[in-house]
Amino acid sequence: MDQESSLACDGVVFHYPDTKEPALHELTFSIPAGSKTAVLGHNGSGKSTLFLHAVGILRPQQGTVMQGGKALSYSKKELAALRRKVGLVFQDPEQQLILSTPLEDVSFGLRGSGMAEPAIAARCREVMELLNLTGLGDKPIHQLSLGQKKRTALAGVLAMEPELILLDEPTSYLDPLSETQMLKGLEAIHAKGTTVVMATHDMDLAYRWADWIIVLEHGRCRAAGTPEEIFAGREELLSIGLGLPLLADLWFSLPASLTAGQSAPRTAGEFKVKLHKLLALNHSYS
Amino acid sequence: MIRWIDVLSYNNALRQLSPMWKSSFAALMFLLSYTVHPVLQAAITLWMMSWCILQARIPFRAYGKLFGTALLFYALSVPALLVEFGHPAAGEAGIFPLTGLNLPVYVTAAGLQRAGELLARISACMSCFFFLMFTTPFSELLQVLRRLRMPQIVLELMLIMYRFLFLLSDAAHGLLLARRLRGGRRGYKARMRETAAMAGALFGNTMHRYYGLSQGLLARGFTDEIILPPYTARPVPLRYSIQAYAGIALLLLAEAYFITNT
Repeated sequence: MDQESSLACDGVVFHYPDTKEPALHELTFSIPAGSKTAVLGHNGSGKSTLFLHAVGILRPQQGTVMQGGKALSYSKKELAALRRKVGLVFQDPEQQLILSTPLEDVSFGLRGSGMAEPAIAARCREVMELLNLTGLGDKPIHQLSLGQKKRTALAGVLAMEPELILLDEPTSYLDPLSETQMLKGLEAIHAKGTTVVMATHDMDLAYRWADWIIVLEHGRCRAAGTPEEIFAGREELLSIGLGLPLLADLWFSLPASLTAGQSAPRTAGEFKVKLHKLLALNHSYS
Repeated sequence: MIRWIDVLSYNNALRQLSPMWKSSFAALMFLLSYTVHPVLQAAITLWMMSWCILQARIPFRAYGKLFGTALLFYALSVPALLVEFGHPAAGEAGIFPLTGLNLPVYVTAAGLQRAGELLARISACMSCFFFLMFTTPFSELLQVLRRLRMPQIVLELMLIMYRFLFLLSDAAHGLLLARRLRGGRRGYKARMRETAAMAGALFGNTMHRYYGLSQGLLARGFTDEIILPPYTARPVPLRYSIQAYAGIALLLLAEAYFITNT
């Protein structure tokens, strides 16, 4: 992807106090602007730490974090501006839901930015509709289900219309319906030109959703590229214990003579079509 | 119980009534509860109960449970109010003398009256508080307090405490459930040790949540203050206004009657 980068790290090192190993170890990578990027890695591989760096909550001990091609500056004013441009959705929604009802919480950042009340109401209505939260605006946060809380947390970030959205395990613990609603919302946001970055363990989700993938291991960038490039190097993925997405695994389990020169299908529909073609070809030969 | 009250405050028939009107009404009734005759205090208790149970449709069970729990504290203090040791002074006729003991214990008519008056006042004041508690969600109470120019720092603390209350209750519930599922421990000492460990774990959990919430606040662009939504005035249906003003007028008239006739 030869595009301008939305987020980039150059030799970033970060040690948490009282730990032997650094959480980020000379981390270097770049995320193309306007992409749907999945950050893959085990627990403790540095995904959450990376996100905290991207919004300036943590500061690298070495190296540089860049947003929109510009190195982050840590002055109060610059950080406030950065947090308007980069939205972070935490894995645990309780971590970022502050006010008592979804409507109040979604409007939190907007009110802080000095927007007029009618505009706040309109923006909140828009994002709550997008994430299927209409009708829940007045319900206390602690009465919401986990899926609703996660979508409320995302709505709060979306309302700010950031250029870059970072989501830490957004679909973890969600039922299929909530996951679908969440992904639908993300698609709509991405369609508006926002760069969406998602940290996940779900290889199937990363494979079918992302158009750029970064693999982290022990705080280092092990690989970066398109899903086809990343999952073609399956031995490398297996060596770090990440496994393969089900569809790619199925595809690679077919005889190599059949699949040679073809990229693995990304969706079940694509798999079906490719398989039909292969079977038809095989049948005509025999 | 906290969760129950909170759910009811968001789902009651008086929810849409102006929070400022409800707060002013409760405050006025609270003031009256302090000053009027005990008979009228009992009347206030019943009237405010009717606002909650009949008008706001708060389940009687929830109301009774909370009222009973609060009255438990009164009940605990009743012996101190009623029971006297020694011999009644001249003119202080002891009733219900308990003569079986070496030390004479007795209850005076004045003590009984004091306890009765206190019960009437406590019940009336509590019923005013309960009216506000059961019919007005916390977020609207904050808006009212903001409009009354409560300092921002106090409002922020109240808001964070409110959020933490439920987070902590969830964490405590999770810990308790995990302990029960593992069978718990037998014996008083073991149980005490485990309770202490649970308290420690809860503290750790609280600190973790606190750290998380601070990061969340920073990530969402928090700088110096949490700006609460502005107060939005809502109309009060005429029937509620008439009921409230008529009730207050009646109470004042009755109080005037009691003052002139005693």
